[in-house]
Amino acid sequence: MRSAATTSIVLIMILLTAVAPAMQLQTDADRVITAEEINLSGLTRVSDILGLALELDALTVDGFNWQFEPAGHFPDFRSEWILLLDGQRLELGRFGYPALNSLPVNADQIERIEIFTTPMIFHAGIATRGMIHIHTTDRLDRNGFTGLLQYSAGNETGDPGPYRYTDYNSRNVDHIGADRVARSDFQYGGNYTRLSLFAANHFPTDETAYHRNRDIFRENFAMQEVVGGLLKSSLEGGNNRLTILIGHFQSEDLLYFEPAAGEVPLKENWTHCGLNGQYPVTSKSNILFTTSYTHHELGDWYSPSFPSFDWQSGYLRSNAALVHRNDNLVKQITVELTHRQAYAEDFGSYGLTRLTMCGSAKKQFGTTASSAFAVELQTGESGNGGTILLGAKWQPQLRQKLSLVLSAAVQPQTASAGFLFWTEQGYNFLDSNSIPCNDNYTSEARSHAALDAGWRLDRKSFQLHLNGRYLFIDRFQLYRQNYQYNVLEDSFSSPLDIHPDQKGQSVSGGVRFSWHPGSSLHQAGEAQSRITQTLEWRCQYFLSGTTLFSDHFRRHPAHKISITTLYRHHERLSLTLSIAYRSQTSWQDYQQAIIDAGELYSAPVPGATTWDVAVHKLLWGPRLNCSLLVRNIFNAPDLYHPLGAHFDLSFFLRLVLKFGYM
Amino acid sequence: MTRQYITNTCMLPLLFAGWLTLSQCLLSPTDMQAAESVTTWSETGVTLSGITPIDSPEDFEEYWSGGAGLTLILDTPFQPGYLNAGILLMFHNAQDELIPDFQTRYFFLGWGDFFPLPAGLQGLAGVHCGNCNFIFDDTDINHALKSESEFAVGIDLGCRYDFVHNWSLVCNWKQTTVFTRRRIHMSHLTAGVVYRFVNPDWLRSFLR
Repeated sequence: MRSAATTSIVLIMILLTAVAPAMQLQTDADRVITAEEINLSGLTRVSDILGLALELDALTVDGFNWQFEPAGHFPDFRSEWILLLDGQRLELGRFGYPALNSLPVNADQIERIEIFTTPMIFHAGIATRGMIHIHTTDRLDRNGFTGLLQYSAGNETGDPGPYRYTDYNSRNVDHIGADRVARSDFQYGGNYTRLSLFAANHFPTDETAYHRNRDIFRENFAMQEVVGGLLKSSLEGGNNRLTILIGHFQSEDLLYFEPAAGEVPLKENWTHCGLNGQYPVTSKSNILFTTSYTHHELGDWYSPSFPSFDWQSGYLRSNAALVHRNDNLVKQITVELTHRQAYAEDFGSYGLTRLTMCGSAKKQFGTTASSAFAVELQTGESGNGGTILLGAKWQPQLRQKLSLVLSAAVQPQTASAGFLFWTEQGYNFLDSNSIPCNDNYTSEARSHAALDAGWRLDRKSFQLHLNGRYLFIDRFQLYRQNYQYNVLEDSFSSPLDIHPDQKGQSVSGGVRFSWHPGSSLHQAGEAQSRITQTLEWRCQYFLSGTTLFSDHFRRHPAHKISITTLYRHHERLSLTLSIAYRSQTSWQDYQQAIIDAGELYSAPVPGATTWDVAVHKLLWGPRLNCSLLVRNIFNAPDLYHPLGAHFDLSFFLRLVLKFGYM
Repeated sequence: MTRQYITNTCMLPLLFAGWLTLSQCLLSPTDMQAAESVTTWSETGVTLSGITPIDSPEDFEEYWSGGAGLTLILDTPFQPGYLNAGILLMFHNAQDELIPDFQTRYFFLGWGDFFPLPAGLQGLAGVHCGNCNFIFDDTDINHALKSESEFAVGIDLGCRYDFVHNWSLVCNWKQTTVFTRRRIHMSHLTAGVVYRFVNPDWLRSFLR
């Protein structure tokens, strides 16, 4: 077991000033993916939906499991960002890949997804590496029961078809789904309960994965499957509100683990139980509280070449915040207790407890400006640490906001975040199974500083959002691998070499412009533009730093462009056309091995321009919701990783039948 | 690995300009909503046609013959034009005993519009896309591999002649491309009858 955090000091300065009446824009999130956007896109899986946001850099090897990293943040895809579901923090990590597609939340119950890339304070701490908050429905239009059945499936083109019996035979390619969801909602007064069950399949039959896993791909294909469910209860009594979440999934997965340079056949069990709510102590004071327990098991289900393993982890997180509002001053005190109990077959069991206390004060100056100050202290078996935060706000006009965020952090090198827990275990595991691993983790503190600037303009016919970020990182731990190709097994292997003292600087920025020209439709009593055009561009550049930092940084595309046109023919039929471009990425660790392996793989990974078309139609009032999505209609080369799957022309169908809707 | 694609980064500005133009065309001043309320979903046409192949890829004909079949199409007015949904069923016989026969079931959605022609004829032009399902007459393989689906798109060109109240004759040329690894480009000629009826209120309400 590695020691966890020993010292943590974070200083964040938020400089914003105001010259006009203060009015909050709808959200402070850097990007909000709305329910309508999700619905009209025809997408159903959480990973695919997150892929709509250019604010997140995405990476996948098998096409099913995705890694995300807020753009302009750290150069490695370590998924240290925070994931919240209805205010409760989830622990979904395994080898750096959060099990997002196993999350028992289907597209139809998502109200919105807020993506925060700028460092910020949230109700239980400070998120310096970004946060994704998924809000699900917690209210119906009327009392009573409603139900929903959803079926979705997709298929990538390029199957052999009848030619499979001929000299022109080729392998089957990806078959996505079928994914099935059954859901029931009940509401009475302010109380709401939802139970949803789901099952999803994926057939990772890409040529690259097949060649590396021929012994696993029996019967011509291997299947990734997951089943699970989520119970959500939201209870209201006076000003009190309590939300209970109980989620579970079990899956069989073929997960790519980069240090091992291959797929791990993974069996997984995950259960989350949690409650959060608020209780008004006085007319000016509230208590916000969250308690959750997550049980996570990882084991192998078929390991002809990978050593057998059986790991279990229990994670308890409990926090309470007292919020007091007095005139222009808001004060908050938060106490959080976390405990991880872990058992790994080869390493025995151990526990780790941490207590965190945080106090903050936010002062409003006049009607336009505000500033905030916060201190956080941490103590536990992993050591002591602290956090300091200072900030202010500026909103010059009713619908305009300028922001400047300065943040600096000193954090321990050793990773205690949930997402990284299993990766650490994986490193230990590789080492103990004679796979060379320079286990060079140190407890030395790492530090980074960032400057974020943003300008948001929200007009009736358009919205404009510009932002930029400068990042400086010092004493950062990165790994170097030097992959070699084994011709006989068509496999890759590499020693793992961890370098603790890496530094670098980068800049990134983006612009998002949404435009609603032309005539309007009236939907649900509200005027809605017939056409919405959205143009988004993001870029990031490496300024200076160590070679290893630069190598990791170049795994992120320097430029990303997205152009989306939503056309509503009428209120129940819409067409979405989108073009997405991302530039080439470079993968130094794979360079030589890819040359040896031949044309099946590619490093650097070329840039890609893809065109998607989605048609969405409501039938039988709002009861039958049909979507057809065709992705990559020009069949452009599209891949994310040198060893990764290609995304050829694909089509997806989604049918949602709702009961009890008027 | 041979890949087929037609776009690259250099084309992006051009494509975007085209995209904007198309968007503005869609925003034309014609009040589509008003027109829609008059005719959209107002009637249904049921087409039953025989189908015969007129062109298939050479390497396809090397292994299979036939391709005749039936097609059933439902269409309804959708301003502008007509929406249709249908199934096309074809039977292919293997030229070699070692290769199984197979059926093709093509489930498709389409859109098209009519235009006037001489002698009381009406021309039809449209596009369609859907799922082409191959079902192999092979008893020796895993059940999951007995059928295979693939995306397909195509165009329709044809004409219609209204010969009796509610009844029409229709003749179409249907060009379809199935996106298998080795693309299958097929041309078919269809001929059949169409029966049209006014949609009952419940059906109109469902479609709306």
